[in-house]
Amino acid sequence: MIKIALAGQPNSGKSTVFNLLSGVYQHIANYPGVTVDKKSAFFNYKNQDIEIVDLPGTYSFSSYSLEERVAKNFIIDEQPDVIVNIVDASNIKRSMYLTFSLLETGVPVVVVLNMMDIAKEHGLVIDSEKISQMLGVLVVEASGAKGVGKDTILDAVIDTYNNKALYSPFEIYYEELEPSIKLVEENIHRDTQNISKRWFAIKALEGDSQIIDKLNDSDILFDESFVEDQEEFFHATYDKDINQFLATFRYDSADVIFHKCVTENKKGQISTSQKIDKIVLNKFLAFPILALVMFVFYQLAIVGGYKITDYTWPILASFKNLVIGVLPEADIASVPMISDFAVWMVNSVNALLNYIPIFIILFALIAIMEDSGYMPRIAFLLDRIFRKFGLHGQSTLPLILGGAFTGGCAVPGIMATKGIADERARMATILAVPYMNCLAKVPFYTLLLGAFFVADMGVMMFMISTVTIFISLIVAKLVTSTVLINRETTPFMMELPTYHIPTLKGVMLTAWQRVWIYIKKVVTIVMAVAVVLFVMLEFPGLSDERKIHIAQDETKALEKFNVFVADSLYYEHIDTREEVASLLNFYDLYKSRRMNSTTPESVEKLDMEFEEKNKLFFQIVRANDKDTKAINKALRDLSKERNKLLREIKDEKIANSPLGSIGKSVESVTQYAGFDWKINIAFLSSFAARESAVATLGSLYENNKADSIRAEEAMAQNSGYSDLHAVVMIIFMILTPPCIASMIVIKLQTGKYRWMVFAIFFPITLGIGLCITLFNMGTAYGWSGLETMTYFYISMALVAFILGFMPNKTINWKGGFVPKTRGIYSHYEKYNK
Amino acid sequence: MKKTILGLMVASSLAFGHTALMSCFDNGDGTVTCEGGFSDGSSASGTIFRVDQNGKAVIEGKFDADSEFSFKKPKGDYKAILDAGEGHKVVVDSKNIVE
Repeated sequence: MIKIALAGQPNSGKSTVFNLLSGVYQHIANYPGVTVDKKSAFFNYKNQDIEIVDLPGTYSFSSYSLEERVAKNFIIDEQPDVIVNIVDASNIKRSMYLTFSLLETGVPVVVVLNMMDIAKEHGLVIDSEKISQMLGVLVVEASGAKGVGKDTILDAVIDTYNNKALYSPFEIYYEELEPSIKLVEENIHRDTQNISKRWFAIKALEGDSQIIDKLNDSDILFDESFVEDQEEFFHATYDKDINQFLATFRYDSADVIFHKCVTENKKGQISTSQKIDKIVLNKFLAFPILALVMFVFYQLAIVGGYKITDYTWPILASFKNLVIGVLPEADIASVPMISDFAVWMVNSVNALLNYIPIFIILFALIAIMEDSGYMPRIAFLLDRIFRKFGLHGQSTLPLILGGAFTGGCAVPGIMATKGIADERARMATILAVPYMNCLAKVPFYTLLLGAFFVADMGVMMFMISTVTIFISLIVAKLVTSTVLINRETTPFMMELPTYHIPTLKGVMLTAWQRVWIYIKKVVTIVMAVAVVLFVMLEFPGLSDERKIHIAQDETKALEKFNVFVADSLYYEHIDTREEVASLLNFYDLYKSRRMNSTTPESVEKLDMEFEEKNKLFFQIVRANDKDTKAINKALRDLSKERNKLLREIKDEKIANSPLGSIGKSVESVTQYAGFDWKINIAFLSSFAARESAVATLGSLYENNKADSIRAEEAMAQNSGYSDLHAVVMIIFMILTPPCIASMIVIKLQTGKYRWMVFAIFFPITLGIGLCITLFNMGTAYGWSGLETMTYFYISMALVAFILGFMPNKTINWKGGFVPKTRGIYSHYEKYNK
Repeated sequence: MKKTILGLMVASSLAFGHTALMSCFDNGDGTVTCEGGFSDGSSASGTIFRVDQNGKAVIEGKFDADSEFSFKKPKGDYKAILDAGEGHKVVVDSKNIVE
């Protein structure tokens, strides 16, 4: 089997070539220990088994970024037979830098000049034959986006593999450094297999910590201090820094290739990409265009996606009904635990699967933005603003998806952080996104605003949805200057690749792969967490005393039902407890299936099915004569009584459960923010029990006497809760994490449970702290709810503003010779962290 | 894992992102019952319910503890609306409310 490593710089069209070579059967995993995706594929070409692995895109082969380390590790540990290097033909001078780094490893390389069509369009004539002669390896031309080059590339790979014995490792002659390289090479005793020993020596001299660690681990005779001595010697003798010395050689080599093998026919002419950039990056138009793109994104993914869930939800609901169908049935007010548990699990998983339409749209759109080349331009436009808060230009999209308009969703927001190159900014974005305005919180706000702020609803809603932006920025700044301060930041690379028209296959593949990862990972974690939560809420259950009490209430309800139906024609069919129980279950099942049937036709079909199941019960459920109507009425009352009992049981179970006792025990702290234990339990169980806070709070303050009283009226009447309480609750809700799903995605994207725990506790601590402060100040100065909210809003805005203008250490000189190549490796940025 | 569980326990938050749902039945006695809910199994108790005719609200209230709302059927066409705020609205047209 031939093992191929696919290497190339970002935007060289590497993934397009990967898709071209491998087809649709791709395998995705993570590189060991990191969250970098590892895509691979197996296939057969001309009777040769081939494994191809897509290395992360890297500009060079140093150890600055995670991607570079991952790529190097792969080459050293997995020993590929051939490296296929994808080179952007329209940008040979820069791309070839990596080619030389790859050649030096000693592994045979096949150079693929990709994007030949664009190079032609730019008026570049490339003599690939000559490049091949100069480098001593095969050089082939391709156009991944147009589907051109698959066979040529694979033929070249097989050719290279078959003639491996004839290949002598590539070397660059480093003049003054040569003696040191020789000495260090002699210091390495381990068998480096496919990889050239010389390369190890050069990397060690570069001070590449990854290579030095590897040598220390695998070679007992290797002496690190010897390398350091050589470095010092070279520095002292020639007054040169080895790193830059080597880099100059590689750049010069790339330059030589460019000058000898490339003719520029349209020099000085403006390319299509530059023409597009004249508009897209125009001083006045850039931001309106960006705003428009973001708006379309939000509309299609979040708004459009939610609309589609209206149609996909019934599929999930019928799955739930299917499960309910095979479970043991309820016996009036006692539901078998296994049924409770199964429904709980199905609900948990369904809630997540419900996101899939949103994700498919979202990931497809992201893939389009990435492949077309607009994504790096967003980073370019917003980087200056976001950098002040420790974020990155690429944080824009995650934050907007998280809810910059009326509401978003943290789950896709966090998922979209994947492309952020800068590790610290990526972490900061992951931690900042959950503070954006979550769409699922809207009903909760609506309830409280409807109760306490009828007149100021608009202002309040505006403040709620915009204060979240300030809070996110503040949090980002806070975490980057504290817990993330030692996180790695990548040297800043600003590259504006040429625009492409994305391929349908590429976009669909990427979108599907990302959705599939989501399904696989999130669903498994959620199932595990759901089991634990179920236990936390279900036990120890009710006391025996209460059980007897509930049983009495149940009997009372049944007796009442009995009295009503006693003189009915059908009495003989419903005169035992079992019969009544199954009638009740029949009624419930019919109702839940009806919830799913939105058209008269589907209702008719449903009716037929149920009539067939049990004609008599069906007549009662769909009563149309006097007798059945009377039973129907009694049945509905009984159902209501039963639901009330079930709710009572559930509320009591929660109050007795470990989760409930936590709610009570933290009252000693939360009371200073005006939260009593009832509110605590409502907050807690709303997270765990998946009842919207609306229903939970509503039922907590429910007046037993009348069903007609509204939840918020009940709240307003209940023990003197004021609008100040309401505002503090709203502020707490703004700060708390959106849901279990979003927290799990944090684990997924950071790779660590401890970040997830941090993302849960930090906001809660912050929330309680702020709420206590505001509640006490509000009480002391007699502020109204609206005033409190306004002060909160203004102070958050001010803090964000001040943090944004806090001076960073900057270099305030300019001038000198500025490299004119595109994709400047900016030393200014590198040393300005 | 232990930490996770602890974290989840103490965390307070809302339900998963969800789609609002509502179905309405004609009870056949001149009344209609609408039942609301959310796709994650949440009850819609406390959520605003409205009946609109020609764009004007003729009946307004809240879903009860059973997540239901019953009302007297108005004359003519109408729309039953569950309104849980921006992005959480369900409208059921009277012609889809059958007995």
